[in-house]
Amino acid sequence: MKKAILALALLTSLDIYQISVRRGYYPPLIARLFQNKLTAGFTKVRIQVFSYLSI
Amino acid sequence: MKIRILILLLALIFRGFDFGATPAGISDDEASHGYNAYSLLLTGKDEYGKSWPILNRSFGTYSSNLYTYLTIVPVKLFGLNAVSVRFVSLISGLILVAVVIYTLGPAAGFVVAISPVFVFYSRAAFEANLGLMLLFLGIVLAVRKHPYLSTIILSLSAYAYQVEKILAPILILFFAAYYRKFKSLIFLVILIPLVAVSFTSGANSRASTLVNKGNYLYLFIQYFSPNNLFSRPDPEPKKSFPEVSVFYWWMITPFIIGLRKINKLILISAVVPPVIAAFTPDYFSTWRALPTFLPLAWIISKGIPNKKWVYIFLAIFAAVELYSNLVLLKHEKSVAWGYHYQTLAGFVKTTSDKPIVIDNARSNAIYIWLALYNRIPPQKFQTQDSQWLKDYYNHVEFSLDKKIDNIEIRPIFWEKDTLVDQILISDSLGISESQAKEHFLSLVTTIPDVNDQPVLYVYQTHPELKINSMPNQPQLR
Repeated sequence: MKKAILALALLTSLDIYQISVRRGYYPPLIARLFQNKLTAGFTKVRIQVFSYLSI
Repeated sequence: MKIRILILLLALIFRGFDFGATPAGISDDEASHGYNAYSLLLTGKDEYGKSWPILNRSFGTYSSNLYTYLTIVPVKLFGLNAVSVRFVSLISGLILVAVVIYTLGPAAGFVVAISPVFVFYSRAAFEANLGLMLLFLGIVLAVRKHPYLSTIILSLSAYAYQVEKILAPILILFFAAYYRKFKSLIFLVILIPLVAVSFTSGANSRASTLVNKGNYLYLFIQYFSPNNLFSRPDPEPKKSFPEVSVFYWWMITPFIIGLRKINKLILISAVVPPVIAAFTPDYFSTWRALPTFLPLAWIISKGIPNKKWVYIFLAIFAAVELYSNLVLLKHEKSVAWGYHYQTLAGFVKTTSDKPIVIDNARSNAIYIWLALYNRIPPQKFQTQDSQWLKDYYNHVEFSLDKKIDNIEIRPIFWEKDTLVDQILISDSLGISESQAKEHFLSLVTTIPDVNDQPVLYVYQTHPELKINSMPNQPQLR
């Protein structure tokens, strides 16, 4: 779980690049809402947590 | 009553927003439904020339055809486009929500209205969605003591999708025995044409390729993995929103709370569809286990507090998530959904004066997109070979290569294709920059995806330059 929480602060350069690419898909103001480090970090945490729950 | 209408309206907004444009493009299976509906409407025959077939010959496999037949109506009303092709699925999704509201309650209807899996499958042409709606409607009618109507609807569901082909007859017999309404079995006559073709090699070719040769128990358990249900998207790119699972991640909380209220009936209805789906070798295929997710949605609804503000908050939260998912789906999956083939169809339509070769070495059946977007008369594809048509359900062989007027869809043969004055179309792997240079090809234009990134490259050959360069080659070696 610690590892998962740490992922919030451990976005790779590929993650940052993905955020910047995806921002282009949204209108500028809305892009900030969906595509930022916090939401990307949260998605990483979510994936980590659910992989622990995986059968 | 007001709440029920509001939930139905919510379902309509979730499914109808940007309908037809997201997913961007039309998949090959969707194009097959649409073009065959168009062909049946114009000629009373499918693209191969078979009059009103019982199974839909779709690129060499034989799939259920009810979706195609129902699509004839929207094609007649709205023309041959993405909205028409997906319209039956949209209506199926809305009917499903309505039936769930009236049988399992508004809370369950609310969860089905906003759940990603049901929203996604209602936004594109999936016969599994039609099959699910008919199956559930048939079960509801049986439980509400309408045995005749139930048998008719369940029998029709067998024509809608493969899973229902197995489930429907079992359910019909079960309900007839349980309620002692054996007279309703007269409507099993509807299934006779389907049974008649079920022993052909065409009908069974799909079954033989789908039979699981691996670990059945492992595949079965995967249908109940929290990771697959709440976090991981479907492994197949065209079967879910990007990075979104069957249900939203936060739905695991009400799911766990709702598990306390689970009963025997819910448990059975959740377990039976994966029993069938796990026979296929695919890892967690959402479309094959679609009926499983209804009882799971019911469990989730039992865990949501019965407070108005909770539902309003969840509806807004889900709407925000859905908007984000739709944007990503449109922009990140446009190539998988064949968006670029519309532009390709436009290009070949305006270039009728030159031979065109479209490389299909890494593509699906490209001809179906050209036929759909350019509304090519079905007679151009239909065979007049009566013997072939007589044996229609046994033709499992299928070639992706096609010739339509000046267009040839086939792999590129470098040795001869560069010696003819023609246009070659392929992706960057099919014709690399160095190959274009080596064979004296000049770039005419590119066919972009929805993000304006080139997907296909259109080259003009220059045979005179190529031929002139040939005598030098031995010297170079």
